[in-house]
Amino acid sequence: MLNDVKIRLMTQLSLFEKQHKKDIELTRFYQSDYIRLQIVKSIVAATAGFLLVGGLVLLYNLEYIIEEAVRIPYQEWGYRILACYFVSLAVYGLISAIIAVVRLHRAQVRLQGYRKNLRRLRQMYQEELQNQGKGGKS
Amino acid sequence: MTDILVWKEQFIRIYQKYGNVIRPVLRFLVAFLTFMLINHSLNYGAFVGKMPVVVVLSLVAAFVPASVLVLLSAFVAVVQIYEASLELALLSVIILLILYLLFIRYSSDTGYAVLFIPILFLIKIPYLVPIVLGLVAGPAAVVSSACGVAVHYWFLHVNETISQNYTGQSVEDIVSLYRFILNSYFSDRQMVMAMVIFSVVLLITYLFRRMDRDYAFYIAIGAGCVVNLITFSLGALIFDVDMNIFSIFAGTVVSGVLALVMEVVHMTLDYKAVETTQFEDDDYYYYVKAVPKVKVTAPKKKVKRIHAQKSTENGQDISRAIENVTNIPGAEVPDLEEEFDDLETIDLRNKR
Repeated sequence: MLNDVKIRLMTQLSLFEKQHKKDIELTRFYQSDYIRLQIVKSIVAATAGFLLVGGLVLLYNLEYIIEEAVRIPYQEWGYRILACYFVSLAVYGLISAIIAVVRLHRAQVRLQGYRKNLRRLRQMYQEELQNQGKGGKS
Repeated sequence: MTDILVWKEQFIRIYQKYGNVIRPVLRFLVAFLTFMLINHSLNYGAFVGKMPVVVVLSLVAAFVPASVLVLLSAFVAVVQIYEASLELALLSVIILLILYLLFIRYSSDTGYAVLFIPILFLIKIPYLVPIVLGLVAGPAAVVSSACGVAVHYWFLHVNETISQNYTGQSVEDIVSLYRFILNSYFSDRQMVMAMVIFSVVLLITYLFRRMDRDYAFYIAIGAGCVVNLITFSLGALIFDVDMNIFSIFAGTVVSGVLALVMEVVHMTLDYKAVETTQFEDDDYYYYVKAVPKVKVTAPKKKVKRIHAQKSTENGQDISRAIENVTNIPGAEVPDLEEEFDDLETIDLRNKR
């Protein structure tokens, strides 16, 4: 026997899962874990970007570096480069944390209706089981 | 107006019925035009410029996500540059990677702007992108817009450098080549000006779009076009940049018209795709096809007839009512019985 209400509910849930796959994926994480994951990805990307930019700067100033190789204050330059690196990591980490929080919040709003429908479906299954139990006893 | 609405409904029906074919065809055409324009701009005789390769790449792009089209376009451009200069191709890859790792990955929703701005620059209407982004996206799209401008000017400088025939395989030659192109690229005031202006246009369009008034979208498009014209003119004067003002004016007008057409089509079509899904429970497998309803609207004709008095067999006068059916586009088909409930009668006896 087909239950129209249940079928409509399951259809709505299924269509939502199809259209909002990314929002469903977010539910696999704890919020703090998701934000940490995005920060780690951002740090890796920022490191790779920093290395590439550093390589370009090195290439641009290669003549000067070769000519002044003996006189260059490597320690001072090293500290400056490290300082720039950690500042850029902090900036990109903060940006990705903010983006992750905003995405999570928007996904939670969209998922409210989905969760409500899930609860209704679960309730319907529980009622079916109870009815089957009563039918078995009688 | 009625005809337009009828065409709209018919178009939606056709698109819903044949959408699975129409969408890949449209994507194929967009990809084909994109690759053709890239090959026209960076024409160094690489194999990716040959028609069969372009067709194959376009076919691939028709069936994959939009982000793959951006990757394929970058691949085509880099391969063309590789044909002219290995060093510049390598540098192009590094620049594109830097842009992606540090900027584009944070606004991936509007990443397509990075492809479409350079493409539309080639046909002189790049101003369409910041206006459309202002209508559909948020302020974060400024990043994609600026990166799109950066990519366009990078390839411009690559073309310029290749045309100056830098030769030599020694390390000094390669370093001097890199110094030349990086110097010219990062000191390009026109690029910085374009980035700033596109960002301003996008933000202004976004702010006007969010106004709580009728026709906010159309006002936003107009404001974006006006701001674009004013800022480019002022920027050319202030930064002493050589720009073709007529070309900017024409490009802005065309971009505004296209944005208007896109907005009208988007607002009036109200298209929802046919959705298919499947799921199961303990007893059944369900294969569901959800088809959005298309409201059939037939125009209600307004006919006013004045009948002469008629009599029945009993001699009683029967005054025929005036049929009063309104012609309202989009109105539902009337129930004729209800229409005769309140009708006017005109008695012509005294008027003769």
